[in-house]
Amino acid sequence: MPAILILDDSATMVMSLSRILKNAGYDVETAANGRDGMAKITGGLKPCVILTDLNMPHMDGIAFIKEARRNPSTRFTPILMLTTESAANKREEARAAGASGWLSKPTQPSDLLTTLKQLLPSK
Amino acid sequence: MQVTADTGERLVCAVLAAQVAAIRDRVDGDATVDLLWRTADLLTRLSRLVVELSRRDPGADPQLDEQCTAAVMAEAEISRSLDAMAFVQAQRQDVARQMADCVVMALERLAAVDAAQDAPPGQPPGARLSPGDLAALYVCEDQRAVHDAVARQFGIGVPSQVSQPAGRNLEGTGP
Repeated sequence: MPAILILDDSATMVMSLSRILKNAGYDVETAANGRDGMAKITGGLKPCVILTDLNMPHMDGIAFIKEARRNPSTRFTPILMLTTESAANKREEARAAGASGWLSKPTQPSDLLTTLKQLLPSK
Repeated sequence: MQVTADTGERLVCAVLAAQVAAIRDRVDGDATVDLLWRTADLLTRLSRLVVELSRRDPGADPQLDEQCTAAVMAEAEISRSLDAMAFVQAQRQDVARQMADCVVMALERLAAVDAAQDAPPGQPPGARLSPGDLAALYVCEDQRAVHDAVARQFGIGVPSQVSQPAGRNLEGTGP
């Protein structure tokens, strides 16, 4: 099964998300920021869904989504933002860039898994 | 070396930036999440041992078997709760870390040695961080609410909700 790609600059968040998703039966790949995430994608990784933070060094979540939408292999891949932000203008910016969904931290594992299932109807 | 008022203020900002950075790193290094994970993992291992021991001598003590089954079921529920608690705690730490990081970045800008050259057009040397510049660094609505409350105390009604993008997309920022 293709993996879920997690992008977050917090090692604790990456480990925490990985644990929740692996316990739910998903395979997981991780990256510390948008630049690392794009490097994995251009290197051949084809995730079934991407879960990204907004505020990251080197390449933030919005810039990453724009890059990912320009890449043929991730043009239609669901991208869910999990971020500290809840501002309407930021959500709109993310939606315009191509984000498929948005969750504000802190969220419950059940909400995350439910949203992922909605993005991945076959799972 | 003579310490001017401006140099002194920059030093204060630099010291405050370093101190807030230390607080941020303590928040980031908090062991609570790790302890919750280790506890959940330990409970799971103990539960598997109970199952294994029960299988070795099935039916020898029906009452003990019943208690083991109940304990294994309780462990699964408690481990799920611990994992959920760790997940939420990790996110709370991440929010606090990013909020502190925002303060560090603002103080570092105020402490910049070449501040006089950095003053934006129309602003006097030293005015290196406007309220709008500060608001562009925010990572959550809580920060904007605090900003607006403080601005009201100053009799300023300018909202902190600004649409300046990429304020935080800076090389080398973050821990």
